[in-house]
Amino acid sequence: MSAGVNEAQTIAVLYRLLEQSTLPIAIADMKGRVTVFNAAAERLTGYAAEEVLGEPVALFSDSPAVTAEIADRVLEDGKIEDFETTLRSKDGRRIPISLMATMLADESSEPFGMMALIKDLSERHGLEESLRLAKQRADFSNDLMTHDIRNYAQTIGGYLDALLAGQVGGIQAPQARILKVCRRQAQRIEGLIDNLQLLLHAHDGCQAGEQTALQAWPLAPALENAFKRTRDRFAERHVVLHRSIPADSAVLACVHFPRVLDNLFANAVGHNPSHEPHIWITAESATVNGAPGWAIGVADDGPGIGPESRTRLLNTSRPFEPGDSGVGLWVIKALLHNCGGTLQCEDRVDGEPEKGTRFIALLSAAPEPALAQAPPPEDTP
Amino acid sequence: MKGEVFLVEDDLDVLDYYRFLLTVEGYSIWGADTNGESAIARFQAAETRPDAVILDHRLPGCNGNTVAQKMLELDPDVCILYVTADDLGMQQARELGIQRLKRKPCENERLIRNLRDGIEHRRKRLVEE
Repeated sequence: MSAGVNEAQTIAVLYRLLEQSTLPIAIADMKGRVTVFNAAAERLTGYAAEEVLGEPVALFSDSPAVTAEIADRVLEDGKIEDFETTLRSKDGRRIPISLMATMLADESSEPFGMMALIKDLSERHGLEESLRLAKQRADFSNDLMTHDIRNYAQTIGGYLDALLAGQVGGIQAPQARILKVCRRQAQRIEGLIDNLQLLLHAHDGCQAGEQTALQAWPLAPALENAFKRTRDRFAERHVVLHRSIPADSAVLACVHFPRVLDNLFANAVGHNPSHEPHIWITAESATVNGAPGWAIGVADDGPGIGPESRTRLLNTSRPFEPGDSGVGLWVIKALLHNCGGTLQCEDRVDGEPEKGTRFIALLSAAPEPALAQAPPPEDTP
Repeated sequence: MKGEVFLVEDDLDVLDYYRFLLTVEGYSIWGADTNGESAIARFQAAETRPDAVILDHRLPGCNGNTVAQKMLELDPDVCILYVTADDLGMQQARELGIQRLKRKPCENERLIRNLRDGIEHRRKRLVEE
């Protein structure tokens, strides 16, 4: 009640509000018969108020059980909120709605009816369905593309391997060089497809709120194996490794941890034009999320990364955008993020960016019991 | 002769590549099929079974999981090398208990090593039986 406004005026104002509300509102008496039906409710259901006043609310219902459940819950709790159901319109359509219903009582707390505020969810449901279909189409395209490209890579890579192994006759050195470049390009296609898959799954997993299963990874064999894979991948170059990895170092990471290391190493060598690129790998104890962890450093003597590019590369809040290169770094960040880890970047030699870069992956340390079930060193995916 | 291999693969280029690789590596081709159902039928009707099967996942007729299950029912010692580009298919094959799984693209050396080991393992088991 407001000052200077009498009861009759208040009722008139409330009635006008009810009528002019864009939210469909209906009131029923204790026998479940409609007593108030506003204009928005008329638009939603297709019924005119005079057609429904005095009629049972079951007129709009798809299911007597749901109608009874709503009435029971309002009687018991005084109200219900965000109750999603459907109502039947005059032309028989099922309209998805969200219902907020509350008990109405007089001054002596005697209930005399229920008021329902109805939210039409048709648009939201339509958008959700469009999104679902768009995702289905994207998943289908991705699946088809991945499957077929892997098949092509099998044939191309297999024949190139056979040629390089001399299984179809000897080849001269210039031809061998060209074939090796072709082989490496085929491997890059495979790597790109694998990275895109990992990135999609990492993002899908995050969106679905899935917990990533973590396992213990002893660092010495994991890093050694990653280096071997990198050396094989860049076989025509002489990759030099410098390592300092404590024997007892082990981290908790997901099953894709070898791919994190492969991408870190590939970045260190792939962007270094030297014929003899050097990689320094280190593992140092660190605090990660307030608990014991390990800082895995992978440094290179490549051309370095400027401060602006570095900030852009490490910005985790920025989504991957068209025109971005280096999907490998995004894979590293996404996988580390899913394992509760982070990625840092610094000059290999402080203050001298042109002397190379060090990426540091921070991950929680594996407890000893988990180490007992660590995977074998042969961790190639 | 290193062994007879049944190729079940619907991509004709991949099938030709398998034929080429296995032949230069000294294996003989027991048969080749591009359809899951006819592969099962051929395996079932054979008087002499192959030493190994290189099996794809996505096949017309029925998928590689079904083919593998049926072949294992008919011959529990059959050596199946499951080579697929399909991550889910590979996971399902692993759940079926298939030991030798390779995701495409797989290097020649790994493919041949797995095939050789699988055939040796099968021959040992047959001798033991």
